[in-house]
Amino acid sequence: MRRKVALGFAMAIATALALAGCGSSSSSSSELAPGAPLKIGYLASLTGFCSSFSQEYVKGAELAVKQINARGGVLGHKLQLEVRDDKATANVGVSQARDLVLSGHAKYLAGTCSSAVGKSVVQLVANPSHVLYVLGVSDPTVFAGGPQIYAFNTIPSATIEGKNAAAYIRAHPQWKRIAVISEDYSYGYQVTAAFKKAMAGSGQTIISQDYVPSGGTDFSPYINKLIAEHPDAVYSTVITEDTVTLVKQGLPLGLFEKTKFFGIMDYGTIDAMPKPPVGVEGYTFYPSVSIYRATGSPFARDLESLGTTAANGGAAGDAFNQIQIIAQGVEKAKSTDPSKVRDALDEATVQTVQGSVKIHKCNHQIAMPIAMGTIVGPSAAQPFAHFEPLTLVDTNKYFEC
Amino acid sequence: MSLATFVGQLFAGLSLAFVLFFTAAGLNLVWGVLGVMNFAAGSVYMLGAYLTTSVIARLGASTLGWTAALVIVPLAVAAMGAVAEVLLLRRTYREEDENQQFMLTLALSYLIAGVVLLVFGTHFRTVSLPELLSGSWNLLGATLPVYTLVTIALGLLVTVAIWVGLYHTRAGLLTRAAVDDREMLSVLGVDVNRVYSAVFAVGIGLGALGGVLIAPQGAVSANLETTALVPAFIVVVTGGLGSMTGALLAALTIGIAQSYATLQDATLAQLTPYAVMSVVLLTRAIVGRSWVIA
Amino acid sequence: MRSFTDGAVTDGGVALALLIVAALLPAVVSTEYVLLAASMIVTALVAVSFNLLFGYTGMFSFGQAAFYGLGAYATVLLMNRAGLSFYLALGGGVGIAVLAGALSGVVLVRMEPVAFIMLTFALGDLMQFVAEHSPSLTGGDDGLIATRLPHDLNVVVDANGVYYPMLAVATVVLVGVFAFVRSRNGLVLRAIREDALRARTLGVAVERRRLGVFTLAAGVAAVGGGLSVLSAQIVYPDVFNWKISANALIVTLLGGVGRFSGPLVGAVLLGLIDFYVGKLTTDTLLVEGAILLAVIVLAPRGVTAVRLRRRSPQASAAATSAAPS
Repeated sequence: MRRKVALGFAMAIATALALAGCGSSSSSSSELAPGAPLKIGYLASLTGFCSSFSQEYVKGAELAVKQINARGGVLGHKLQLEVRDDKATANVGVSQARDLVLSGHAKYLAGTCSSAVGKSVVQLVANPSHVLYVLGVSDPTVFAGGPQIYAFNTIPSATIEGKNAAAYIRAHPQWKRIAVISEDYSYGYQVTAAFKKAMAGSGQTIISQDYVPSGGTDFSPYINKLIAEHPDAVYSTVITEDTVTLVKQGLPLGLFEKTKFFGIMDYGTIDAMPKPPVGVEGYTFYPSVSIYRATGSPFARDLESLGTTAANGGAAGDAFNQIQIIAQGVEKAKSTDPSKVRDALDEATVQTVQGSVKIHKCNHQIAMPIAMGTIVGPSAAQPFAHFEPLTLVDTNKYFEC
Repeated sequence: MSLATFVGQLFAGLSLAFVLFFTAAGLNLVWGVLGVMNFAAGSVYMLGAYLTTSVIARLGASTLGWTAALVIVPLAVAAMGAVAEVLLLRRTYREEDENQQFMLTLALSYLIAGVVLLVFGTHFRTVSLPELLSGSWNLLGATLPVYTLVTIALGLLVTVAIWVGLYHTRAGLLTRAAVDDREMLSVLGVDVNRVYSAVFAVGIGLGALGGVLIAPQGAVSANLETTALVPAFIVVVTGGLGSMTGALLAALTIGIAQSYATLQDATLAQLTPYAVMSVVLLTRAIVGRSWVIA
Repeated sequence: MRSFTDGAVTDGGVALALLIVAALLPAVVSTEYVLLAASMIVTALVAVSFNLLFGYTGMFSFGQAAFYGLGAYATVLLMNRAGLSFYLALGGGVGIAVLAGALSGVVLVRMEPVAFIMLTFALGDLMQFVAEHSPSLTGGDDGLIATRLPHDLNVVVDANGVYYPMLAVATVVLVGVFAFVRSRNGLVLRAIREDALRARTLGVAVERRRLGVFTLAAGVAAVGGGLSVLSAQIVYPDVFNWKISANALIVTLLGGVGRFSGPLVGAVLLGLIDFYVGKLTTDTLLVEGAILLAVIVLAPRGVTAVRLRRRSPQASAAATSAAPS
């Protein structure tokens, strides 16, 4: 008897909470009431395999919200951020997204570091749900729905990344034999596939493709294998913690002396290395403040207020951009209706940490520039490992639409 | 395969094997002696790595800093383990409820991960080695990082210490007796509680030692918990629960096999621990020890 | 002296109460909670499958996720590739999992307990590896989108359209399981759990019984996996992840091992905990660990066992007070 009572009690509480909310959300008008806050649900992957920079993402998003509100919000609505942990798992992400929309009345969602979460939540907010989702994931299939979908991507997709790397490698035709090393999951496969496709007909051969287990602690067998193959160049898309492991174990094994190494070298990652691989050429697209000072974007300076080192603004910058894009979309559409905002953002040019950037309607990708350069140690002007010289590549040319 | 590659992969495999062995040895003690499937084995490894970054941050990445970390961190974590054992696990021995023990270690693993996240945040941490240990040597054409050799040397040292401890001390005798027959031990008047606490603490400390050794090899992040947990269980079971010799042999087999397998197919090589374990378990079953046991 | 049917009424009673609440739920709560209940149904099925092996037969399986995931993928593939309707695909998927359970079980049930734990674990992990690395078959970790579902996924979803079919199928399956464990079969399994050697000397075909329950458990887990497709709509390789097997264990232990209603109550409890903790804080690990610890300390044999313990002293007190002075 006691147990049934307890169970009934629990159900009653759940009911009360459910009914205390707005219940079903099928309101006919998608415009916010005047003065009502514009809620943005933020999916932060605080636990799970891609969680390293999640707290930075959150800080970046919070900073954008704070600054936009300091200027009066958008169309008279103040922004309100609600952060949830999606655990980098699709069904948790979906459940949190649904809760944010149904109970939290959020019309806008942002964030996640996991393509699987992104894919499922994009599916969730598909027409006609009137919820817009701005995220930064590398999997291009997440946005396969084309121009109708209610989602936009803030980082270059794996396809763009692969094409850019191929352009760089092709610019060095003396490197005949290329070895590729990537992460052992969809991101690694997609970048490698795009790279291979773009390398077709170059006369340069891809002699091997290796995939390292994400989060692995021992890469020396892979490094030994790479060195033993005597490639002319190595293209690496090993990221975050794994880059650190690769470099730490690669340095004493002579990886960077015995091969010409080129790969993704995010500032937040090389800054964390006790010995960054100086002299190695790399690229990154996370908008670290120090990279984008050159563009003159006022947002670049804003990120410094976060108090992290200038190098570590990368992930925060991406989340900052996501919030900015939502806000600018609302202003362009002169409406808070997500459908109108989506239409306004198609083929729009938006202001980001990286300066002015174009959105491509056909695949809802934002043509974020990719920064490339040679790694040097800290200097007086930039007291952290960075690229020098630094070039910004315009990625619009890699779009097929 | 050239000689250089052969030698290089051999040492890479040995280094991998010994780090595996520490976590497995710790788990072996706790599982074999106390009968507790310690789900927190991966967490204490991760905790050991994180605490190492704190010690090095405080004392500097010098030889002094490192020696301090090597000594302080396992002892500190072992002490925490002893406290957890007395406060939580000990209550379960009376009822001999293995389920409860297992669940307790599971809850502890959540708590440890949660505290680590709270204190250290999501961003991974890194530490560097002292100059002395950062270089590499040449052996038969293979480049061997000094740190790999140090890990192997330490591994052998600790292995020998475990052996001496188990086979040439009274405490070791009691531990082995507890593996064989717990009830007999208490009947003989031994304070079994004290033995359990000590064994648990040592087991936890060994796991943390593995974490200390892995810390400078890459990035220290919450991922360490899961990457350590599963291989530890695999090594223990492959070697035979309760057998230190078995755990060492299993770790060596798996570590070296995986290293060479990577040359063949880097992706499939990840399955090496499972393959070795399955072959050993199935063979053991067929050969007869446990084919028709209830 | 306790008879076999002791507790059957209470056990079945609790399950029945849950069923009634579940049936009436959508009338009382909003969409979101209905979908939460749907996820609890799936969790309960996997936990029941674990309990069949562990609670009733004494076999600690750490690989129920293997059959859960197999049910999910098989269902989606049969829908997408063979053009079957959802229910036919579900049946086919469960059939495939049952077959896999029987084939793997032939070897697995003969292993000693520790080997059994690790090999079932390895089975799940192996299947996850295969699912991740076979993009042409499973889509890899891009996931496999289920086409031809009876209901479209959306934020404002026809929750009842997802929930009631799941509840109906789950009820049918669970009634079958209840009948099974309450029959003589269940008694035999418990005998094997208590002392397999003695059961063997009494003429029980231990390996055959173990294989039977292993196959049954595989089927139950696969039903859970197939049903999960209705609400998830996309299947990812982490349906094989060992954390699902671990979750089944946690849920069963929380609710009460070896009781039919244990996994059901545990699924509801853990589902509510996860949901509210996820809403209220981002320190989910810490809070969930603390709650778990509290439950273990306060209800060591599971929530459904708490009442029984308190009754015994009272019962014995009543007995002694009734005795003639």
